[in-house]
Amino acid sequence: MLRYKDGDVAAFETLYRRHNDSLYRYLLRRCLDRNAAEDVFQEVWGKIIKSRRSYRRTAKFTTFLYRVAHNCFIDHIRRNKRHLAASDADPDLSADPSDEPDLAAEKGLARERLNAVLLTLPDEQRDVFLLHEEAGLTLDTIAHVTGVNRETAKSRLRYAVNKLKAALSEPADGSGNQP
Amino acid sequence: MNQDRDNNLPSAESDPLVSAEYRASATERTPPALDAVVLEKARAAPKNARLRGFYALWFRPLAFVTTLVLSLALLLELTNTPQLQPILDAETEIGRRQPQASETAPTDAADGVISEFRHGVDSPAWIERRDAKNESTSGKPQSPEPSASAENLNLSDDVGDRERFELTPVPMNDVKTTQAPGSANAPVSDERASAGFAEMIEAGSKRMQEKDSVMETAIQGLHQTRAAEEPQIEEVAAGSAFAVVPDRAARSCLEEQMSDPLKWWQCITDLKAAGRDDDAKAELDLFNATYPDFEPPDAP
Repeated sequence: MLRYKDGDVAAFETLYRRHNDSLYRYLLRRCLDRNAAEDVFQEVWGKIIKSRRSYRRTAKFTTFLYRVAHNCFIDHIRRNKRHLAASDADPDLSADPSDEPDLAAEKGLARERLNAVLLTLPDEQRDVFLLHEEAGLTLDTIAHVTGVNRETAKSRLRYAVNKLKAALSEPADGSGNQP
Repeated sequence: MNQDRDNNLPSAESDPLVSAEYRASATERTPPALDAVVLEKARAAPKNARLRGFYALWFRPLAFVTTLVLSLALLLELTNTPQLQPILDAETEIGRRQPQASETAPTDAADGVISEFRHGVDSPAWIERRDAKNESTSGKPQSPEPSASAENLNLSDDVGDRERFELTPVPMNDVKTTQAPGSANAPVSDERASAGFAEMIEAGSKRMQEKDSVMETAIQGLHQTRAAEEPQIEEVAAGSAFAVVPDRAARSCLEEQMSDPLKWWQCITDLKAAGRDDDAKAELDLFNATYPDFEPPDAP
């Protein structure tokens, strides 16, 4: 980021390639809508680009990136509260069209089950779990990004993991949708 | 130690099975179009920043110069506005006319006489007449004495001159200035000062007498002028004091009586006592116009 601040566009491209997919998945599972996730994704990177001049290396870039993403998602929720309330029940997490049909079906089933369980999680627990899994953030960093204390973040993560663990351990007969 | 263990996410907060399941299922990738948009934006940002830097560098001086130029243009526009010029000309013309109107009030011969009467001993006509008189009496021209000038005696105005002369104390410094030029620097004793003061008094009395004679002359000139221009005056000044002045032939009081206010007043009183109220009123109007400051001994 500091190199990009000095005008090195290639450095930014490297940075982007390192974080783009994980950020995209994080936003996709938070927004539960592909278009909304792409909009927030662009907004996040736009803010990162714009803030390159005032960037100070006080923390890891990942922390900075996901804090911006977290705030952008909250802004997006505030802007589109009514729209999101209607689209909550219809998540758009379809299969990647580049996968083989059998593999896609198998992945699709697992993804469907996991997504169904993720949907049952409260928003705060889902946020903490996604920050941990996608961004690889520690509890302290998660607490910093989400604006809560460490114990709260730890508690939320524990609840989320326990619920997902319970749901995944159940037989795949369609009862996984039960909370 | 406990915090390190928490940060490493032990089994209570992290489950390998759940993580593996999630990572196996979370295979979405960013659409290439989205990547292209973001990267294009990242490439364009430094160029825009350079342009913005250029504009930011020149923006303030440019804004300052623009404001200055616009202000000057507005000032020139206001200065050259055609509507303002006639107003300015009219104001200048009014300012030029006002003093002229006050200065050129007397326009005819009668007003000239009145002006001479008002200016009294300061009027140029009176000075000429006095010089001629002095030449005829002494045979040689006399320069006006500085001690007897109207300014030193506070006789510049004809209204209430007598009262002012009598009531205004003249400082001794002024007495010094009335002495002969040769003795200006000599020490002034009390006797000499009192003698100078007496001279000054005498000169003032003489001036007052001369002034009375000037007044008589002025009145006579006024009557003559008025007799010559009476028809016009009566037409123009209807309703004024001159309008009620009767014809010279029908006048009740004589010229000799009119020269003395007390005699004139007595004539008016006699007319009123004789029952000639109209004549008395006409004479009284003329009398009031001639002697506005006269205080009658008793009302007629």
